[in-house]
Amino acid sequence: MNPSSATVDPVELRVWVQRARKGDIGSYQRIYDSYARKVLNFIYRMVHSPEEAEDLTQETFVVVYQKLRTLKDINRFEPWLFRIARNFVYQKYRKRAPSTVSIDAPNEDGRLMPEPVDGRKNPDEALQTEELEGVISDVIAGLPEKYREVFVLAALQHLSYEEIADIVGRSLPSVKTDIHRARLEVRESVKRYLKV
Amino acid sequence: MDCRECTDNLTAYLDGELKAADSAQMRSHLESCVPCGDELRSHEEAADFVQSHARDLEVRPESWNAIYDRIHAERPASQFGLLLPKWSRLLATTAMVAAFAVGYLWYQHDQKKSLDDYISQYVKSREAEFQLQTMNSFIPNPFTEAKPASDTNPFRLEDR
Repeated sequence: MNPSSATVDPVELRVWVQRARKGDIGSYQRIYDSYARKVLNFIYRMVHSPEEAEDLTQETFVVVYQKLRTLKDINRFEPWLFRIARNFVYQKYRKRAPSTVSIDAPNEDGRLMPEPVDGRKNPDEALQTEELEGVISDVIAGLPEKYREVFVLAALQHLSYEEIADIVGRSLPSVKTDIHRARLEVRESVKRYLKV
Repeated sequence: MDCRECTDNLTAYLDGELKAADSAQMRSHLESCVPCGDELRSHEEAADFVQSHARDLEVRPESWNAIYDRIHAERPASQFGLLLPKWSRLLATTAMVAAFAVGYLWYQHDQKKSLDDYISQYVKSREAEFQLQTMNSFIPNPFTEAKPASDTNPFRLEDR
């Protein structure tokens, strides 16, 4: 099963978590399949390196499995998961300059990170798409850390402000203000690509 | 609602984070205010642009294998304890402590009994030995040769 970012049925998630807590790896794999992509891309936007994002995602899911029994409210699984991922980002990479490794650079095993294939695009369109992807990537990477994390969680991972406040450990009004400022900065940076 | 309040809440409105009543007020203002309406469309377009061009990384299938291996490698030797609910573990611990206590008391009791038996046997054997010695002191030994009595009295002056 390919990990996707599709919305997870809360009832199913509850069952998976309860089973995984009892050591059922199959259920834990279902949780992983449902959230791995979201976590990977959240971390990637924070560390700006595919390889480091993959390593930290693995660390996150190992720790989540080990600590699953300590999760008090299963309904808050997703914020709890992202909080662990965020802790890894800050513990390991806070004082480190962002990596300049390209998303297309081969990893340690010499493999490229897989990417979605879109056979409909002609070379010009593909080049333009790639350029715009680079623009977005740079714009997000250029945001101050405080804005970046809330922007990624809100605009790309579509978490609620309440969940984001839970993850980043700040008040709801503070998160709301930061998301608003981040969106203003992003809009300013991509203004020349917009029609309005 | 004024324009300032409207622009401050535009992104929250866009993210569906406003309460129903606030949302209704926003809609009402946005329908009647052209600059605020333009501001909203600008935010919407920027959000769509980011969403459509932010390329997500794909999860490599091998990643799960690495996590699976790590989970198994770092699992405790016995999962039995982890599989039990908390109260069961408490019960098991209590049972173990109780079994140890009973075993210890039994051992102590057994040790004491052995010691008592040993002492009892020792006393009995000592008593038997004592009785034998006492009997020996009163019964003349028929096999011992009697010494002839001395004719001399060491206390008589004439004999000295």
